[in-house]
Amino acid sequence: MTAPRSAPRLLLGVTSLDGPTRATRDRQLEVAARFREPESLAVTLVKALEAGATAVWASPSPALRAAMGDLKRRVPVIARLPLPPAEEDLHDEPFLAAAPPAGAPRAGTWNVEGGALGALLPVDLASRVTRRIERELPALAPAVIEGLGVSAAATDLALAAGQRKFFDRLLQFGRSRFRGPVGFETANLGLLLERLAAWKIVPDFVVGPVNPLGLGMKPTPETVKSELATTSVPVIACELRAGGLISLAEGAAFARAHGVAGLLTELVDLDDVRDEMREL
Amino acid sequence: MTLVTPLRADRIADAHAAPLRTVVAGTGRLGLQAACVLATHEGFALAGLVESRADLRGFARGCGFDAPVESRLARLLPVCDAVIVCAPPDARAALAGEAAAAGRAVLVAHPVSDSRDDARALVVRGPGRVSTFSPAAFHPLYERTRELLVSGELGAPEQVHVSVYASRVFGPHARPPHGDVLDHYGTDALFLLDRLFGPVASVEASGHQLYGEGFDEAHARLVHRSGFTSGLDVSWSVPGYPRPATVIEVKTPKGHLLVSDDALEIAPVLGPGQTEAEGTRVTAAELPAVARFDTGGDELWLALDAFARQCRADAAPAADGPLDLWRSVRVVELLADLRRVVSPHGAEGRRS
Repeated sequence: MTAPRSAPRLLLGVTSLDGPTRATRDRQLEVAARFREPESLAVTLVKALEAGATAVWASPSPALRAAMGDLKRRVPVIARLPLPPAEEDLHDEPFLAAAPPAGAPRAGTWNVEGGALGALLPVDLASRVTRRIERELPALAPAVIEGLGVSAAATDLALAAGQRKFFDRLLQFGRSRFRGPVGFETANLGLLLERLAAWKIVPDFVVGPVNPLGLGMKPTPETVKSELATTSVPVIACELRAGGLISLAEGAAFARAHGVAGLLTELVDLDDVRDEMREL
Repeated sequence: MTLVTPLRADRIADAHAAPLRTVVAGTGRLGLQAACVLATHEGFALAGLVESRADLRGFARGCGFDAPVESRLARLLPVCDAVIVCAPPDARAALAGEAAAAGRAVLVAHPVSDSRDDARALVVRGPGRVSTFSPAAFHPLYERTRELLVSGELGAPEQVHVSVYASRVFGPHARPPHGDVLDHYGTDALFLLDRLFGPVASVEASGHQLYGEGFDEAHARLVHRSGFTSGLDVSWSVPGYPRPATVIEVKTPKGHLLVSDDALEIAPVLGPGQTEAEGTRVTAAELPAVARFDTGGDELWLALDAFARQCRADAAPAADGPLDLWRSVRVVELLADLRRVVSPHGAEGRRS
C-alpha cells in the first residue's frame, strides 16, 4: 500500500447546498438561496481558500460545477463519493446495488449493475464502490480532485458488516488514484475508530461529528471522546455547530481540545466565510 | 412547559441478556439498514438475510455480513427467534405470516401489505406475535409531541393539519417505477396521524395527477373517531424540498403546536389583557440521544430497539402502542378507501 498522506487541516464543505444536514430546513433553504448564482459560490470558494481552507469537501452538484466553471484559479477538492441520490427514498434497491450505465443520466436510472448476468454474481462492496466512484468522478469536472472521502453511505454499510477488506481496498484504490489524502466519512465515528484500531488500518483521515452537545456522536459522546483520546487515525470533525445550537468557535475549540487533526465547516455553518474561517 | 424530558433507562434494550437471533427478510434499502442496526446492537444477533431477488441477494452477499443470505425464509426459521420483514409491501404479509406460523416474533415494516385483505388476514394468522413499525412514528420530536398530547397539558386538539412536501417528480427520470405520492409519503403520514390522534372514522379526499399515472398531490379531510377533524396535504411536486418535510400543526385551547423533524414549537394562547406570551421551542438536537448506530437518522434504531425490549419481556405489542399491528392495518384500509373516493382531477369524494 502506498504511503499515508497528511490530513487536511481545514475543509470548506459545500455538500449542504443540496444534501441533508443537521441544520434546520429554514437555514438550509436560506443558504441554498444565497448561493443560487454560481458566481456567489465561486467567490465564496476563493475566499475560503484565501482564509486558510486546505480544500473543498464536495459531491458532484450542478451548483458546484457551474461555480467551478466560472473560476480561473485552481480549487483543490476532496471528493465525497459515492453520492446517494436525493430520490433514494423512493426506491427499494440500495443505491449502491444499482448504477446507471456509463453515459446515461444519473438521476432516476436504477439499472442493476453489470446487466442481467452481472446482477446475479456476488460482487463485493469494495468493487461496487470503486466502480461507482470512477463513474461519478467526471461529474466533478472541472474541479481538481486532490483526494477522496468515501461517503458515509458506503462507509457505514461496510462498518456495520465488519468488512475489514473494504477499508483496505478503498485506501489502496484511493491512494493509487489520487495524489492527496484518502479517508472515510462516517455517521458512527466511535465504532469506526474502534474497528480501525482493531484492524490496524490507518486511513489518511476520517470525517465524523464532534461537538460539545454530543450531537451525532455515535454510539455515545463518551465513547467518541474516549476513542479520540487513543486513536492514531487523523480525525476531521464535522457538525461543529450541532445543528446551529452553538457557535462555530465553540465547536472548533471543543473538537481541538479532543485532539482532532482538522475541521470541516459546511456552508450552512457560516455567515461570513472569510472572517469565520480565518479564525479557525 | 418542559419540552425536553430526561432519558429513561427503559428506553434501551438490556444488553446483558442473550441476543435475539434475528433474520431480516428483504434486503432492499430498508432491509440493509435494519441489518446494519442488528449487526451493531447488543440486543440482537444477525442470524441471516432473506431475499427472493437474485440481484439483491448478490448485493447482500457482497456487503459481507457475517450471516447467511438465503432465497427462502423457511431455511432460516430454525435458527432464529425473530424475523424483521422489510421486503416490498406486496410480499410482507406472506413472509410475516410464515414466520408467525412458525412461532417467531415478527416485526413488519409499515404498510404491512398493499392489499387490505392480506393485511387483515395477517392479524388472524399471527395474533399477538406480529408487530409493525413506521420509522417516522419513532422520530423523537413526533414522539415528544404524542407525550404532550397524551399528558393533556395542552388540552384536547381542536384542529390538526399535516403537510408532507417533497421535490421528487421533476425531470424525465425522477419518478419511481412503482407507486405514487400516496404510496411513498401518504401512507407514513396517515400512520403518524393515527399514532398521534387516533383512528379515522371517515375521509373526504381529492387528488391531482400532474406528471403521469398515479397521484402527485392529494388533500384529505379526516374525521377521527374521537370527533375532531384533521387535514392532510401530501405532495411530491413542491420545489425546495430535497429532504422531505412533514409538518404538523395542532390547535388546542391552550396553544398552537407546530412540529416537524426540525423542531417542536408551542405558542401559548394569550390570556385576558396579555399582549405577549413566551413561546417554547426545542430542536431534535436538544432531545436525549438514545440510538447507538446512525442509519441516516435514529428512528429505525429506536423502532428495532423497542421490538427487542418487547421480545425480551415476551410481550405482545401493546394495543395502541408504537408497534401495534392494527395501526398499519387501519392505515392500509384507510388508504384503500381514500383511493376509492378520490377523484384524479380535484373533485372531492367521501367515505364514512
